[in-house]
Amino acid sequence: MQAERLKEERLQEERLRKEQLQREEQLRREEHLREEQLQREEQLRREEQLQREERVKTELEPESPTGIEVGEVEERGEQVAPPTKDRRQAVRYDISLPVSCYPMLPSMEVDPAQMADGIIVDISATGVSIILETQHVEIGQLFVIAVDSDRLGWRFADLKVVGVRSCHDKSSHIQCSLDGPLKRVFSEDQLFPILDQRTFKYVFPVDDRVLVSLCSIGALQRMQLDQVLVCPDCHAVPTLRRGCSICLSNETEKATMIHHFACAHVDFKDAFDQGGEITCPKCLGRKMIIGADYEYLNGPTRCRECGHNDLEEILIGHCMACSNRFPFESAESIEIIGYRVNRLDPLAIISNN
Amino acid sequence: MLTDWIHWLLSRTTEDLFWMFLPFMLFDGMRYTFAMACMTFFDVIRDSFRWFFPKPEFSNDYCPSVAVMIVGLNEGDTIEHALDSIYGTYPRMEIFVVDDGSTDGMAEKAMSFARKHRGVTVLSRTERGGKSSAMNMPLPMINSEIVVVLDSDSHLAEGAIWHVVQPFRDPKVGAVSGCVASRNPFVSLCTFLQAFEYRRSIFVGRIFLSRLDILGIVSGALGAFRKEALDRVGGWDVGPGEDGDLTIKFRKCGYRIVFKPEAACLTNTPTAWSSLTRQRRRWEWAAITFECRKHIDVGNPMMRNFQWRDFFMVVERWLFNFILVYASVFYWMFLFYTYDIRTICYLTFTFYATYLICELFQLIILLYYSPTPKSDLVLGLASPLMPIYYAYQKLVTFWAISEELLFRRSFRDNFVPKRVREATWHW
Repeated sequence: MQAERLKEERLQEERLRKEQLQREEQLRREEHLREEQLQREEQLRREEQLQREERVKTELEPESPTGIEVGEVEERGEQVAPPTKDRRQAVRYDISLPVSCYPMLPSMEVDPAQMADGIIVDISATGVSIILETQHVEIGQLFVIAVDSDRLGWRFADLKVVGVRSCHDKSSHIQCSLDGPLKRVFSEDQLFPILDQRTFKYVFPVDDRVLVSLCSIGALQRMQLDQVLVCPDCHAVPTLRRGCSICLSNETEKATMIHHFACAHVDFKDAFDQGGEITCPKCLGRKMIIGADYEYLNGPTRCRECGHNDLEEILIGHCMACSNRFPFESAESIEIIGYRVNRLDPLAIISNN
Repeated sequence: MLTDWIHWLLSRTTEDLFWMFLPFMLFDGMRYTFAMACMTFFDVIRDSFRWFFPKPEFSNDYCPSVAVMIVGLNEGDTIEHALDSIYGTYPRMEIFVVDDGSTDGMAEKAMSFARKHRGVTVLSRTERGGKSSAMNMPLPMINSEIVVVLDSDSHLAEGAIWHVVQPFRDPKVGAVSGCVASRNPFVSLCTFLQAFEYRRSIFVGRIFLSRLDILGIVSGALGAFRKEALDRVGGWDVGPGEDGDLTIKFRKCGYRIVFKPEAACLTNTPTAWSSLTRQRRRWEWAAITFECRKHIDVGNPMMRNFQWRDFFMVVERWLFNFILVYASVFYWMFLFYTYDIRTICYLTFTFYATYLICELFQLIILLYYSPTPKSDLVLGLASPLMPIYYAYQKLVTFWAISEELLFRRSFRDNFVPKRVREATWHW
């Protein structure tokens, strides 16, 4: 009886164990299915995002030509760059935005006197169409536009003319691309001066006159970067050292003096050194004990070249360009100027309008 | 009382009057009034003669190189003013400022001046070492022919450095004393009386001593020394009284000491009686230390460098500054012991009147020599108080001499730092 009971108990235990294993297996499968579901959802999300991005790209790319008749441009005798494929394919937005146009000289300077008012009639990510109110202004190949946006203030961009068409109402319709040559000037590394390795002066990578002319129309804003001390003769940056205030030599040494208490004699250490023993040259006192009979004093700074003594050395500048040596207190202070640019972002105008 | 005193005075016999006025004749009358009257008398005759037969005057065209030394301790307030007053007043001049361990930024202020002005050297020490060693500090760096010493609280009159270097044309002249006057005469009664005293005893008194070639001191406030002579005597010895000590060392070396009244310098005088007493006591201790102990050999005819002018100089100092001060005190003690109080009062009135007449007489002498008679006339208003002021000075001198002779008081004087005082020789 007892053996049967034990058998039954064992069978029951085995059954329970099998049930437990089956339950665990089912849970594992469910978990696996859930992970697969999540991965699928993630992949779908990525695909959607890529599609959205592609859609945005295709919207911004030019899709139609500017519509300029090449023959008309040739009639005006102007050299006009051929329109690029990208510009033609970009999406265009019709807007009406007042604009000031400044023609650019061949030297890339801007002449504020030649300013003409116009209206931007359409804009894309790569170019604009402008109607100038007058035909009297000589529009060359390049010019700078200034756009007054309510939110953004005056913004500037340099344009490359790709086509010009004279209209019946004595206005000019100009097609331009936004990739003008000033893109280089308007980049930040061109608007900060650098120390020239040959002249040791602060210079701009581009011609100063270009920057000044752009500054005069407001395209660039002056800002003080630093104030540096330079050579009073040639304004180059000097090197510095400490030295004698009289002969401007750096051959100086800090002298040590001895004060003999008994006779109040004070002299340089060398004068007390007689045969390796400290002896007072005034009273001929010998066998002196430091602290009780004499003390060391911080003497002046002595120039080995001219023999001048002073409490401290002065800063001496040596110009790297003209070799002028001068007390640094007489150095001239100059301002280091940089420029900040108010760049026109076509996309911002599109979104504002 | 006044009528009684006049009756008393008129009733004296000639012998009484002789004995009564003998102390005055010995103490002050002989030294100042009569001697100066003689000098003025001769100068009046000389000037009258020159008025009729004018002679070309010496021009201030002697221009040796000069190093001006300004030594100070905690003189940050006055150093810039002192430098301003001397900078650029002489063409061949270098300036040395020595800060003897100041804690008020004196060296920094001098440095800021030196950065803006060429030829100004600033030397500084971290711990006070005493005035003498501070003055000796720039000596190894000086290449000029003449060293001018100036107090940092002094203010030089126009052209003072030009005037003070002129006597050095004579190669025998080793040192020149400038004329020190009070800068603050109207601060208190004490400074007012000192201002008149300075005019009388430094301005007129030193003209007289210089004429006799027995001038025994060069003022620390403005003095000029030949650099070669300074090197020869080893500069200044430990003070106090280092100015007088150096002057005697110069004399021993055979140099002449000259007073130049045109080289004027204004200096601050003590404003309180206590500080004036302390200053005068220190002067008297130094006089005893140097003239009666350290340099007593000046009066010894057996010495190799003996000179009669040096002998007369120390004799004049011993006689008037030490011996007659004691005689004066003992005389008054004798009077108090011998006579009744009424007679002593009469005698006091008599002496006061005599001294007052002498003061007025000396005021006339001062006005004769003074380049600024109007301001000296204002200072002359102190004349009625001067006899009392001199009586006070005599008592201070008596006190100072006694404590120095009996107790060597100068050994404990904190004029020099303790470590220096303990290491130096005590004369």
